[in-house]
Amino acid sequence: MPDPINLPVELLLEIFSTLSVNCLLALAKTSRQFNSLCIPFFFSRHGISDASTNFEYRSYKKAGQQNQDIVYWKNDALAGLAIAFDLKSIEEFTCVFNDYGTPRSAEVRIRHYWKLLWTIRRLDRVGKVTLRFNSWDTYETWIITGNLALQRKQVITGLFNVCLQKGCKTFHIDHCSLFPEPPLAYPKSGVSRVLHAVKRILLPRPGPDNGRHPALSPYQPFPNDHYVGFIPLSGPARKTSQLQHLMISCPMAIYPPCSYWTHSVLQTPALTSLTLSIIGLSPDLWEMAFQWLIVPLKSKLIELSVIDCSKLPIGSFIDFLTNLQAVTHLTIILPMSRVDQYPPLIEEGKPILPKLVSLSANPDWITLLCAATPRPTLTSLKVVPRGSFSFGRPLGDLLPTLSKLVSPSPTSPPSHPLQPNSEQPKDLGPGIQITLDLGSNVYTRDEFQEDVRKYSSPTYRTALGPTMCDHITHLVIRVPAFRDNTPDVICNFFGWWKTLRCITLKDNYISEWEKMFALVWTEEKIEKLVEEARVHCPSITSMAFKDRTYAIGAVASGELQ
Amino acid sequence: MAAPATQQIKIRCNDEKEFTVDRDVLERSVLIKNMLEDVTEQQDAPIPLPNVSGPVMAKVLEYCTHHRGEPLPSADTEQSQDETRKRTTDISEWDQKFITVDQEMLFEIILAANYLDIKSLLDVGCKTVANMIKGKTPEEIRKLFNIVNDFTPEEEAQIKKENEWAEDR
Repeated sequence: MPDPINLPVELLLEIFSTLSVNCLLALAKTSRQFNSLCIPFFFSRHGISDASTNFEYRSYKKAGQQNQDIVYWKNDALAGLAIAFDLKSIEEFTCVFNDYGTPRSAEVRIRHYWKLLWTIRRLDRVGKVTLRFNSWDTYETWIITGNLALQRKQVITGLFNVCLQKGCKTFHIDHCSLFPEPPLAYPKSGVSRVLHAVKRILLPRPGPDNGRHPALSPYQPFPNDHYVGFIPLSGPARKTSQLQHLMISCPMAIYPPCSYWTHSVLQTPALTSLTLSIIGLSPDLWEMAFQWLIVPLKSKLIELSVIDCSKLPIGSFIDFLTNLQAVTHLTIILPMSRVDQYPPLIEEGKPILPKLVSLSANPDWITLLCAATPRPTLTSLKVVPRGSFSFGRPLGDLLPTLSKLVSPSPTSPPSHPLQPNSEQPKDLGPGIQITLDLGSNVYTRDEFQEDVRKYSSPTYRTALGPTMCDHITHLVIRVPAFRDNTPDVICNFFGWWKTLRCITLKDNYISEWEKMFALVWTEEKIEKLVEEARVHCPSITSMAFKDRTYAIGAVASGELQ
Repeated sequence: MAAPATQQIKIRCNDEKEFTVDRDVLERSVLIKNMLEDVTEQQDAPIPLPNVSGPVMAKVLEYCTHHRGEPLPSADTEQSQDETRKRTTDISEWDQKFITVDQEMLFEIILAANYLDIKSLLDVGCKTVANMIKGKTPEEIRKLFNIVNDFTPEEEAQIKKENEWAEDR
């Protein structure tokens, strides 16, 4: 009697092509042969073509589901990976979780993290791991999630250790801290008081026995060991770890207990580079950040991103910068109101950011960091509006700032061990890439036009003399897409850039970019811009708009696809 | 052009059973259609079909007779048909009745349809199997198709774990 197992493979595949993901998953659990046949089908349904080189997982909602808390995950790609027994190693593993920060979703998420942990445990090897949590952790969500936060931290800690055991070389984790642990030994801190309050509220309640995973019951008492650290690398995992690059976003991880974490990082033998992202700290937390993070880790810290450092104590400012010796990539934003209070940056024996390759900052910071210090290594500069991307007059701030920059040597290419510069076209040769972020929604039309008139006048240009502009080869403009005069404005600047070879236009964080772009950047306007570039800026060889590239000048003409 | 529809063709199955069938019915099978096009002269010798048994052939011929005259799927439309087939597991009423056979016969029909290259019948068969799998647990599928569970204990544990995560949500 012919069993399905005896059917030729092509017939089995024929049958599988009509099956739903549920059926594929069930069939994959029946036997080895069906497992190896069904899993590729299962992955392809989730848009994964080659799971061993690149596995990207996104938690998703069931179509049409109203309740945002419940995330559908029964038969997601991870369910397949958990039992994909032929798959032994993954080169790049990316997980994106959408977290809504309510107890219900937090609990579901934690189960999901467990699943991820077990899945990676099953593998022999994993190369680069990226965990992204699309959530912003706030006091409020933390109070709601209480013990779940702790459980979450524990499972993420386990996840990290498992990744290390599997030979992970690059680990990137984002917004994961969600209040690491109750710092009871530090009763003076405000956080501690909050924690005590939360403990009083949460702990007396008996845990509802809902028959789920016992470790995941939401009202579990805090364990005695509070100081497990943020992500402690446990003994054996740490000693044999091949981890080279660690990228971490830690808005709230900077507590004294994180000294364990700091210690662990220092003990990881292969680690060469560390990327930190800090989002908003109070003055006392800044002090702790110095003591426990930046100073001990300064030799490995190569990338630092500080978004909103408005609470950075002015007295510690120079200290802070002089400790960033190894940093090559810096993103730093400072609200406008405080800029006058900072002391001028004069180096006294201690060089300030000597290795800087890439700087992303508002004009104030650029002036502060670059005006007095030669920056021969700087090859990538991103100018963002003051404060965040919604304050100030970005164009007005920008050009005088550039004129203050000391000319760098344009020979060194930008380098980053983890994120090769994706915006820089490969064939441009050495030079500087500059990104202008023209802001989004606060810049009014009148201000915009006034600035354009002022700064595009030839008199102004001549008055500035030779500037950094003379070395720029690639200009990336993040345009506010709603400005219908943006294309004309860009035309005005062609005379500025004498060495420019490529212009790339990007959207400015606007979700409906496609629609807006089509409205503002009409065919005629793009053609006019290309034509203007051809006439006024002979060095330009190409322009890129969204997904189209135009070749300009002597190299070629017409449209490239 | 095609021979007159009344032309009768003889075929012989692997159990020596012979059928005499109208040519246009047999031409539902791309295999036989190609064979017939290769031989120009009328032959009295039956076409041997060593991979198909009599009872199965009778079933296949029943299908072909019912669907005689319908346009054969051409090579050009194959791609788009693939797309639509993936999306739907619907089977027409007659086909459904026709394919309500025991499992052994079902797989024999699928194999025969594949051998004889009758795309629409193969589709019906595959969809029927897919419908049998639909909504079943792995254990039920194993029972249904006599699949031997050959996972290692570690793999078994991982599957168990996966089932735990998946339950109730």
